Amino acid sequence: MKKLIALLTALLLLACLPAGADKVTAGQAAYQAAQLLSEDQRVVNVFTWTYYIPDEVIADFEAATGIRVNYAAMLGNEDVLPKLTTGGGQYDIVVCSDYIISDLIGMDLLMPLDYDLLPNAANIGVAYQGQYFDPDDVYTIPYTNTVPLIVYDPDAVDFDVTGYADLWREEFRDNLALVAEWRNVIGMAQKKLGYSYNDTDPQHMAQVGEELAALKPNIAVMNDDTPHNALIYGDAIAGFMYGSQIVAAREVMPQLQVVYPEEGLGFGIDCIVMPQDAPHAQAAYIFLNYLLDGEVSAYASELINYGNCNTAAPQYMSEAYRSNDTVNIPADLVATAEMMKPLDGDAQALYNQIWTQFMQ
Amino acid sequence: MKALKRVARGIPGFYLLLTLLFIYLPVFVVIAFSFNQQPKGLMWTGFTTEWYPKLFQNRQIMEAFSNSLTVALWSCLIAAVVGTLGAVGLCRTRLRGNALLEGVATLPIMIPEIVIGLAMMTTFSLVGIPRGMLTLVLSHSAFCIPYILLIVRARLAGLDPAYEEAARDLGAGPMRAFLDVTVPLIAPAILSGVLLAFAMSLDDVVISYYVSGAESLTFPVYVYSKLKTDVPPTINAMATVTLGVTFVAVALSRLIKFRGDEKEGISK
Repeated sequence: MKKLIALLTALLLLACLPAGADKVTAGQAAYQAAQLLSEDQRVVNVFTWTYYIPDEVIADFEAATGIRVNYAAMLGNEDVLPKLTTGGGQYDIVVCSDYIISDLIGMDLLMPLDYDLLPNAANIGVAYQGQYFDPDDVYTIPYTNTVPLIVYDPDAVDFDVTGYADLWREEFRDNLALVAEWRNVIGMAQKKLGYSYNDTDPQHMAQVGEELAALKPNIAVMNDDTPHNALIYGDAIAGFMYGSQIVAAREVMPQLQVVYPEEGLGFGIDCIVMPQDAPHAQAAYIFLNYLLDGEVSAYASELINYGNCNTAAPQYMSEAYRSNDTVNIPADLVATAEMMKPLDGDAQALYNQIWTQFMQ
Repeated sequence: MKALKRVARGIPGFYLLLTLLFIYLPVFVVIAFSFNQQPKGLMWTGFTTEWYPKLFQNRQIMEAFSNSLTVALWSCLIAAVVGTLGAVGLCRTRLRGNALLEGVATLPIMIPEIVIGLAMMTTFSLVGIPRGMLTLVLSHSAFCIPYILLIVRARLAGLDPAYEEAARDLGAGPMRAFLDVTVPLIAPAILSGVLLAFAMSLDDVVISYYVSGAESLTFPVYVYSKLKTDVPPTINAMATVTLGVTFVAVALSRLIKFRGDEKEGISK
């Protein structure tokens, strides 16, 4: 048993050693900053989806700075609020989606960021700043952009798909794979009708309900985690899903075509925030600044296949990643994309009613 | 007619085969894909063992797995003691509230996990216990106890009280009679209860998620959260290792039970 433990430790050390060597500048800067920390402050507690900040990036950072990163896995955005409000004071860095952040700010749970400690924040793309949930960028650092897109197999149909409306066609009967996130599904019908994602007109929403009912016979699979598997297994020939899922499907089926819907794109930003009561704020700033380095950011993006928000990153990206139209949405399209905003009470009830009807 | 009889005789075997296939085929798929070269998707591209060393090099996975094992071992130990004592208490006393008590004690199995998880999280927060390994062990013990209680109680109910009475007749104190006679007799039940509870604890996602803190990630939560960025082949490798551990544990318990039964046979 002791031998086994020794062997495992040796393997772990081996895994950490060679890493970090190729990212000298960001690593060195972080190392310098880390020298000012006392031993017990060399910890960062992260709360987000597993691998959303990739293991490789964390291993590099730990090797360069001696700061230990504890990673707590998150299952969904909705859990951030309960985790931060009950027995908080545990997490230093949280990555979560736009619509949850307004609530966090409203409840005074987040720490205003000290930009003096984040020189690399200058790398953030302007298109991702000043969003409705944090107009002055006081609390949030954009980490990834998430744009759900249409994907389809051009060999399976004899017409070109150009927008949401095509997904209603007879040819896709029982052959669509969709994400299950309700706002995105309702949003498809809203955009098809030319309405906003945040439309609250009851008459418009009644039409949306009818459109959704018409779409239902076409849907073969609806789930948030692995809709792309339906394409791979042949249960669907087209779908509407997140970029990383399309990338996964295309790795197996390169013939799949990506469509930027002509009716307009939906758009989301996953942000890094620091809780008000972060126990290791100094180390967290060092980690955050490290993540904002162009080279580190490019490395992370290529590993997780989500859209990058860092203007210093593209020069470090591989040609394959840069030419991947699933994760690199043209800037002019991003500029016209619309975000889904949190709904107030009445609108929430209206949307709920439409969704319940649809799911029956 | 004879042929028909032969077919009829084959039906139970065929049915058994189908059932076993239904249960074990997905397991074999996971094992097979842990040796697949293609890191994403489910296309077979060639044999490799490269994911196994990668698995042991991944600190997050190894720590999460070690956390899961620690929590499972501690909570099974606690649940074994509490559950067994509870079962003995329920069996030996003839109080009017017994049936109600038993119902209440086994209720946690019926309550949805999400409710228990949220309730535990809120309670720990109110009492002021910081989330971490302690809260994980406490809550896992809580949902493990009913399994052990139920199984041990069933064994006790079928146990002839004459064994313990004989020990008392021969001069053993109640403690001595319990430890030397009753405990060995119900040991197989305790063990199978512990194994069931161990499995429940090891694969729990929902409750663990709500009661764990920044430094106490468990393996199932790690895997489930990984879906945001696709399931990696190292997870299949980890699943295979976990299955191996489970098979060894179950084989051991069978062996112990077999030995125990043999002894019992001799004494009868």
